Amino acid sequence: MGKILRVDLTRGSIVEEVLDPEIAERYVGGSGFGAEFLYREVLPGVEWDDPDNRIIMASGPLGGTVVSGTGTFCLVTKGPMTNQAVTTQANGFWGAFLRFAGYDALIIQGQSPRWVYLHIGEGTAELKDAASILGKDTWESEDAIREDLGETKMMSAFGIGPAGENLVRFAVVAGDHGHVCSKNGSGAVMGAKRLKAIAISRTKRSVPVFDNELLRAKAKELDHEAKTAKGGLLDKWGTGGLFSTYALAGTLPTRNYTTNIFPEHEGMNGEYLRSHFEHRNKACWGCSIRHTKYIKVTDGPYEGYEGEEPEYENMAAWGSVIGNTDAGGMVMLTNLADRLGMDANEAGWTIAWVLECYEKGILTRDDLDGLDMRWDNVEAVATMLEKISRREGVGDLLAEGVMRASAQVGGDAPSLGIYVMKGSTPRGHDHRAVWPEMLDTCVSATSTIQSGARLTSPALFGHPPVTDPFSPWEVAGANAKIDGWYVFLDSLGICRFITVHPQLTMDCVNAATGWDLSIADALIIGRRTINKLRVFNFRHGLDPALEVPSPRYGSTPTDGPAEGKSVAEHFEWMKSFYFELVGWDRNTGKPLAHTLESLGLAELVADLET
Amino acid sequence: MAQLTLRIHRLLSEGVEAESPGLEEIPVSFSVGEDLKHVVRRLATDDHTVGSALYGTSGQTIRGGILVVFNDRIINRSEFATVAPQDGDEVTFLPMLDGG
Repeated sequence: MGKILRVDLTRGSIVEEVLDPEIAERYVGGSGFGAEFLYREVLPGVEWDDPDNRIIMASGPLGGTVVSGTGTFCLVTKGPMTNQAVTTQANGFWGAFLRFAGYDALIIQGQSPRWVYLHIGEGTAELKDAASILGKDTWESEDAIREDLGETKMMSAFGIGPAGENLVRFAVVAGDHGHVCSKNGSGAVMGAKRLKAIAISRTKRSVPVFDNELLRAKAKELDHEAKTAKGGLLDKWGTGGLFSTYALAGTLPTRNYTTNIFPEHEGMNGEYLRSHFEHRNKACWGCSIRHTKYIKVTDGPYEGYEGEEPEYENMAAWGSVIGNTDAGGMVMLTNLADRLGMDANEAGWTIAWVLECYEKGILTRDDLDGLDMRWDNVEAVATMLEKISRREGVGDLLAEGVMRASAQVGGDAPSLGIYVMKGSTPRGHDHRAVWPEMLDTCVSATSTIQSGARLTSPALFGHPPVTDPFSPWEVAGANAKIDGWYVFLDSLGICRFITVHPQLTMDCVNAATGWDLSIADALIIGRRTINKLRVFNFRHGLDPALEVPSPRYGSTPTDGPAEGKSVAEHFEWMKSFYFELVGWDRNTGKPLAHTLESLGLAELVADLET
Repeated sequence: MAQLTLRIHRLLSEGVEAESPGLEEIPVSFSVGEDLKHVVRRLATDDHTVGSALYGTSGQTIRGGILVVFNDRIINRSEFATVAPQDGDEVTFLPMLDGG
C-alpha cells in the first residue's frame, strides 16, 4: 500500500496518508499523481502564489528500483508563467530517496510564517528553520543543510536559490548539484510558500517490487538499449553531442532568432567540451550511462572555473542564443543560472531579447543600470543574471520573463521576444525549423513539451517516420499519434534517456508492479493525465487563442537551412487539426465529452461546462 | 565530370559507434545535368553503407526521419528530381532528432 506525505506549511503539520490504490492504477505516479491531486485540491480562483496552491512531488513505480536512472521525480503545481498547470521533472537521487523513505508522493500546501526547509529521514519528517541558509544559492543550500543536519551519509536536497526566494517568475527547483525542475516557475511557487528546500536522507529501506528476478533481467536489456542508442552518443558526448547537428539542421537558436547561422558551433559542442576541458563523472541514482559530468575550464578567460558540464539546453541558452562564442563563458553562465535558481531557457530568451533591444536602441545603457549589454558580453550577462535573481534595478522587470517585460517596455519590444502567447517557455531550439516541437510547446497542458514526437522514433510505435518536417499534416499527425507517451514516462520515476525502448520500458513497469500494461494502455494513461490537466487549465483561465507563438517565435527564418519556411501561415490549421486528432473541439480546443468518457474522466464533462 | 560533396551524419549508419558525432564526407562525381535523385541513388547502389543509411531496407526512396540539406538549405525530398547540382555543391543528410 502506497503512502503520501502531506505537509501543511501554514499549520506546521505533517501527516501520512494512504494512497488510494485506484489512483495508483489510473495515474501510476509522477505527473499522473500530480495532475490528480492538483485537480482535486487547487480549485478555480486559486492563484499560483496562493497558500492554497499545491506542490506535488512524486516518484513512480520504477523509482529506486534496479532500473537505471530511477532517481527521477516529477513536480506538479500551478505556475506563474502561465498561471496554469505545470509538470516538470528532474533527475538525480531525490525520487529514489523519497521511495526509500516510504513515500510515493509529497504534497505541500499552505504558506509558512517563516522560512523553513523540510527534512525527511528514517521514519521522521520535520520542518526546520531555514533562516541561516536564506540567500544561499542552490548548491550552497544543499551543503548548508547537510551541515545543519550533521548528515554524513547520502542525502538529496532540492530547493530554491535567490531567484525563488525573490519570486522570479522563471525560478526553478534545483538539487543534487545541477538537476532542475525547470518549467513554469516552480521555484517561485516554493518561494511563495517560504519553503527553501526539501532534503531526504538515504534510509536503509529498499523499494518492494513484484518480480525482482524478471525486473533485473528486463532492466539489463533496457540499460543496453539506452547505452547504445544513437551510437552511444549520449554516453560519450552528453546531450551536447548534438549541438553541431542542430547547427547544420537550422535548429540551433542563434542571437534571439535573428539568424539561423552559428559558424562557431564546433568550438562549443559536446565533443569540444570533453576533449578540451577536464571532466569527471557525475552520475544520477543507479545510472550506468552517466551522461552528466563535472567540468573544469582549462583555457580562455574562465580558465580554472569548475562546475557542472552544460547540458544541451544550457549550451544553447548561454552560447548561441546570446551570441556567446566562448565555451568557458558558457560553462560559467550555465552554473551561475543554475546556482541562482532560474530556468536556462527563459533566462536565455530574456537576456537575448535585452541584447537585441540594446542593439536596436530600444533599451539604452541607462535603462539597463549602466550595463553594456552587447552580444557576447558574458560578464554583463552574468551581472544581469545576478540582478534578476535579486529583482534589483532593471532585474525586477526582467524577473517577470520576456513576455511580461517586453509588454511593459512596449513599442516594438514585444515583437522581438521568444515566447508562447499564453506565457509558456520554448526549449532551446529554433522551432521555426522544428514544427512538431513548436506546436507541442504551444498547445501543451504541461507547460513544456508534451507529445515529444521528435524525441522518439515513430517506428518504435509502429508508425511511419515523418518524411517532411514542414508538412502541417504530418506534423500534427506525428504529435497526435504518440501523445501521452511522454507524460506516461513522467509518471514512472525514470529518466527519459533510459526509456528509449517502449516495450522494454513496459516490461520493467509490469515486472515492478505485477500489472499487465501494454504500450496502448500507457498511451491511455498518459492521455488521461493530459486531458485532466487540460480541463484544469480551462477552469483556470486557459484561452486557446493564446496557444500560438509570439511574432518572433513564429517568424520565418531569413537565412540558414530553414530560410523561407513559414510556420505562421500554417499554424492555425495545424493546431486545429491536432485538436481534432486528439479528440478536442477543433475550434475551442476543449476536450470533447466522448474523449473524456473514453479516458474514464466522465466526471470532468460537467466541470468543463461550468 | 563535376564533383559534389555528400555528407552523411554518422548516426544514420546502422550500428555505428559515435566515436565522433559528426559527418562522414564522400566526394561524388557526376555529369552536369544529372539530377540529385539519380546522383544519390547511384552512389547508394555502389556503396552499400550509404545505401543502407539513406534507403534502409526498402531501397526505393530515402527513408523517413532524414533531413536533407542542399547547399545549407533544407529541401523537401520531392525536390530531389528537380535539383540539378553544380560542381562544388554539398548535400547533407541529417537525422531528425532531439537533445537535452
